[in-house]
Amino acid sequence: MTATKTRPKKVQQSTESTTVKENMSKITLNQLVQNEISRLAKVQGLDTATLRAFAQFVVENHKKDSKPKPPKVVKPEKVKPLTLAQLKKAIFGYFAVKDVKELKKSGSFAMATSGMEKLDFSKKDGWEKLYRKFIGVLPGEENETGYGCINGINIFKYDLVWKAFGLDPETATSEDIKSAYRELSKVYHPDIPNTGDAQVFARLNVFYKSLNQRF
Amino acid sequence: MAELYITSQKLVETLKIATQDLIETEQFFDSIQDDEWELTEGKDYKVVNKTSGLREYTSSGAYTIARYLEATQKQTFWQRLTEWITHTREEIRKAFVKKHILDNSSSLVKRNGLFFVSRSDLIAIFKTKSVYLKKMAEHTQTTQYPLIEGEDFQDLVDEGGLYYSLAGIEKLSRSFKECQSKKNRQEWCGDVGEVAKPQVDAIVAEIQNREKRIQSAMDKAKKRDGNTCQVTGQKKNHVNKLKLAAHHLYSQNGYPYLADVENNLLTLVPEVHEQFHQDYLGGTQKPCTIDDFIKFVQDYYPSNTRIIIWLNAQKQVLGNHQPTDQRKPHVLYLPASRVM
Repeated sequence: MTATKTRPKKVQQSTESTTVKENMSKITLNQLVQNEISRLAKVQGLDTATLRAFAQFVVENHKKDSKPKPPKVVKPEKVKPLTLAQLKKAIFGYFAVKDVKELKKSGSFAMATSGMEKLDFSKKDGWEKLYRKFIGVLPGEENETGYGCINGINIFKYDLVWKAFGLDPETATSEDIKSAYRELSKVYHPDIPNTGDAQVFARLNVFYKSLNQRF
Repeated sequence: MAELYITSQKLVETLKIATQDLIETEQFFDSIQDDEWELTEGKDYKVVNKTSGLREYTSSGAYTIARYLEATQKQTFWQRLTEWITHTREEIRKAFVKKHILDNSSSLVKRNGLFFVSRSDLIAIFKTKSVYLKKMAEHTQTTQYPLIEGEDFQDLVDEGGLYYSLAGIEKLSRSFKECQSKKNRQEWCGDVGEVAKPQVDAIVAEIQNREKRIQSAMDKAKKRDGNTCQVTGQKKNHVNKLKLAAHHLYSQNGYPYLADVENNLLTLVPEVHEQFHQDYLGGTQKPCTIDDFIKFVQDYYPSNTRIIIWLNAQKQVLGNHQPTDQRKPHVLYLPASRVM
């Protein structure tokens, strides 16, 4: 009898203790906590259900780190640099030679590089310099930022005048060139505070004069 | 282009055959007349030594022999010959371009470590017209890598206009090659971009050597004259430490090709040298001849009959010369300071 009397009570208690309001997960609150909830509800005149929900929240989250998580840094996709063989192939193609021996003998190579510093053919760096000078932008150096980089091009490493000016050589008019130069001057003229730079401006001047030359 | 002749020796080397093979082939061709295999004198070959019958072949004659050897020996003689002829023709063509550069680069100058030639010289080198060079330069400017001021071209105010560097000429050469429709013009303009640098290097080396040769001739003339002024008789010794000048009888600027000729030099004390150039002629830049100096000595040092006789003898040796155009001296006679 006792058993039958007490059982429904236990079930009721259990239901009360484990029923979580709305979307809360079901966490069993022990007797101690439940007693405290009852006491506070009585003394402070608070809603038992609210206190129980709060207790549930505390039990569920008290170990979690309260600091806001930093946003996930998306690593830029690693650009694969050209291999030495790929660099050489591009240079050989440009000068219509088969190998380094022929390249060194090539008259047009000697002419085209006559203004360059002495090249070290044993190092990749030398081939990269040639690539920049005659072929185009090296993988990983597109949209470069930092000192000397304008419109994604490092003007000290590349002679890519049109890219630096952000113009299309096929369609640009002399007015477009002038306008692009004027805009860049507003940023890089040495008299402009913070952004002005004598070296950058001198290089831009060379670029402008080159495109503006009446041959 | 003139007919290309290949010597028998070169033909043997090119076809990689024995001399005897060529002799037997020639005998075979000559033995049976009017058959499939014919070599016609004048058209296919010329006899360079009538006694031995040694021949030099035209390309048609050489090809006929290669075709015969290929048919009888089943080897790639044709290809070997084609390679040789193509290569030789290319070398001959490049030699013409080099000569043309030599004759049209009197504006050559070195600035900031780069060699430049004037726009007008470049027009001549490319065998083009002013308007077309302009067009090609403008075309180059629309490419990814345009001509860059200071690197590829420069407005040299002191030289009177636009100059192109070797790197700039190479870029222009590519544009010419791309835009020309005629094969021979493509080849010529392409060759300019190939041979200009070695040719300029050779020219510069010659200019520097010439400077050394002039100095050497001056030293020899002074030694010949016993370090003694041939007009006043003053002799250099360790006490007076006289600085003697070697005077060019035909001046360097008017007759540059005689500048390193010892017979064209005479030892003088600086006072007499100065007196002749400044006072008598009116300036060191004015060209002078041996006749001017003979007249000067006769007028101012008439008692020195020995030198007057010597000068007249030298006049016979040196002969009469016409001064070169000082506005456009040949590149080989440019002062070394211009290309150093």
